Amino acid sequence: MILHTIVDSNLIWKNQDAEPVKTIELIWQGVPMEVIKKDEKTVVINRILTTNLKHYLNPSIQPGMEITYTLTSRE
Amino acid sequence: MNSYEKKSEKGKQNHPNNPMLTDEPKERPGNPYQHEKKQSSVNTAANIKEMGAPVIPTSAIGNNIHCMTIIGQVEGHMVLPPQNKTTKYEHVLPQLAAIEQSEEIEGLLLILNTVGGDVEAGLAIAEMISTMSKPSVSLILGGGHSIGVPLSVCTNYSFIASTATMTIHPIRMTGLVIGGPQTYEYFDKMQKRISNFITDHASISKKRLNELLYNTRELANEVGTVLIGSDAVENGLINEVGGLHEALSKLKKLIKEKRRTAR
Repeated sequence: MILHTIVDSNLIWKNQDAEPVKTIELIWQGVPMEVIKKDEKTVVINRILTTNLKHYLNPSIQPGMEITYTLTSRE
Repeated sequence: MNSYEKKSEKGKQNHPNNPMLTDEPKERPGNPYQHEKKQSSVNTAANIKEMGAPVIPTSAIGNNIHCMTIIGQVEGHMVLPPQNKTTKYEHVLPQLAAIEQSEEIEGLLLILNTVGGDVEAGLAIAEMISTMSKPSVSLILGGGHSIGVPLSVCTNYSFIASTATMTIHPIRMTGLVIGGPQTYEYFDKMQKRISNFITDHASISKKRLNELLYNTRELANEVGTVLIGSDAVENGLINEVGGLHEALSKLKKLIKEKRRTAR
């Protein structure tokens, strides 16, 4: 991978040893997605995992949106 | 038959074998739509926190233009550490495919404020936009540096704000190099991919682009050139100096022309 950027690589990779964010895969309103747990009842959408192109233009499920979802112990 | 059903039927007729383009039923047993009320309050709070207003005004805007922003680092094959603000290609690429397929969207406004990033990801996004059938206009605000340059020129027409900058410099690497000549050859090929894309999509000549790339008199610890606003236009990289109004007006004009030719 080559980075072509004006930012110094030391700045870009400064915290590369930090613990990676744990993501969870779930299906919400019929859309498979990868989320990050925020608290007990809220998750933040990290990525949409679907082949339906319409989902990528749905404003309510864009990456970064918070959704109310109670995770079960299995998830 | 109500208007929703009519629209749904029309979509199915146009794409009889394409399940991606059929409208989904508004309600389906087993779907957790009971979350919607709670979701609305969560989004209102998020809007206040992120945008400073409870409701983002969308209803009054014609929705035939899709606005896409490319900010921070263009993130590709590797996840960058969290202090980087990034635009991820796995978010952008399917969205571009969806824009191309959408019957409502007629044009793309690409807003750029990027410091560069992954070569492959940047070129992938640029190639996707340049091969779209729908009109596209880019607007560079702040900066469109490094791999942001192909992204700036990949649209049908490009604008740069008078205060925005573009840093033109060759790709580089730090660290251990095994096989100097081979590494040089590899980097030369990678640079050619970027340079060829730029010269194919902008009116700058290869000779002038190389002069800007290998200029040793402007940057202290780097070769290259910083172009500010009108410099980018004078060098043939960008079409025009302008802002939001100019970019939107141009895009609307291109959409009208496209409609006329489609008839």
